[in-house]
Amino acid sequence: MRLSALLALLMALLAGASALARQNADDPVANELKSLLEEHEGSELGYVEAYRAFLPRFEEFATKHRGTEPEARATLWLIQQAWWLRTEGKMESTAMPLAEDLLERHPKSPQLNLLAEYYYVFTKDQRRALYERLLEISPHREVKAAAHFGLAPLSPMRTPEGQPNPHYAKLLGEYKDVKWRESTYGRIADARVNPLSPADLAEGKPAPEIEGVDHNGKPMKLSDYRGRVVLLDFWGDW
Amino acid sequence: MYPHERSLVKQYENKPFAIVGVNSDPSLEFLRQVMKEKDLSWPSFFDGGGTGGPIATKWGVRGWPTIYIIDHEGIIRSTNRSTIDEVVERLVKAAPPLEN
Repeated sequence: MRLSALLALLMALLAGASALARQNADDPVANELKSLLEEHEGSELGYVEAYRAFLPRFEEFATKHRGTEPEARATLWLIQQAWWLRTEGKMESTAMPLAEDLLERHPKSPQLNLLAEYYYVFTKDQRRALYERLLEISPHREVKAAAHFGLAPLSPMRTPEGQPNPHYAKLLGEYKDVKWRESTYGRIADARVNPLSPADLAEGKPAPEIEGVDHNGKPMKLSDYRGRVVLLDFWGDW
Repeated sequence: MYPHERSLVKQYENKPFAIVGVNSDPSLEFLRQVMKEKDLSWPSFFDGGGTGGPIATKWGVRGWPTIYIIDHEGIIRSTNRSTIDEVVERLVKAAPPLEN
């Protein structure tokens, strides 16, 4: 959990910084936040020390630019970084009021999908309340899809009739083409609802096809390597 | 893992063998940087950015690294990391040479 949370943290920071860059290259307030996010990301300090060091600066930014989209992003940083308060038992009690206030003031922000990305700073009940609210108030497909993605694991994966639960059903249908990280909600929902069984992956069984993209985003398939012995290696640089 | 993989790539150059990665690093930029810095020549699927990606989730991967050795006909032959060398050697010998 700790490792995946760290990865999620890093990834979301990168995603956040690049999303802002796309949004408004000439907006000085957006640029100020972009610099702040990049400075934090590049900090040589440990995670907890970096949080403590940058907290006053993000809070100051949020106060100064209250009501703007960059402030919403800065507040999302404060929410995500509440992770570092978990050992003091203050994570949920810090993150939730910030999130509720954010929804109150920025109901139409296109960045609210990050609340689902940062699910780990909330209790299950908090998540349910936040994501149900997002479905009610957000006009954005990306945010609604993220809300369903946050709600999907909070119910049994399948209904008593064996169908995917309503949130997974939305992600497999209406929202299947919405971008999730570098993939889509449709693909991640399918992987969760219809995983391969250990029997499908046993020695002697044909390797299931994999279709995806390489490091340049170029399409590739596992079957492109038929005729060769393949060492299929699930890896990450950590 | 990298030195071992590099030596396999070198050992089986021009032989019917390939390493295919499924990468769970946080972003495409991160993966490109790792491949450049660590001089990794083999291809990888980019799995969406993070450990909960669609390929790893579909395949039920819970630990990293996880490996599958697949023969030239596409059949899974081993998932054991401690016998990679001997299994690859045996399977490559049994595979028809590459046509050029």
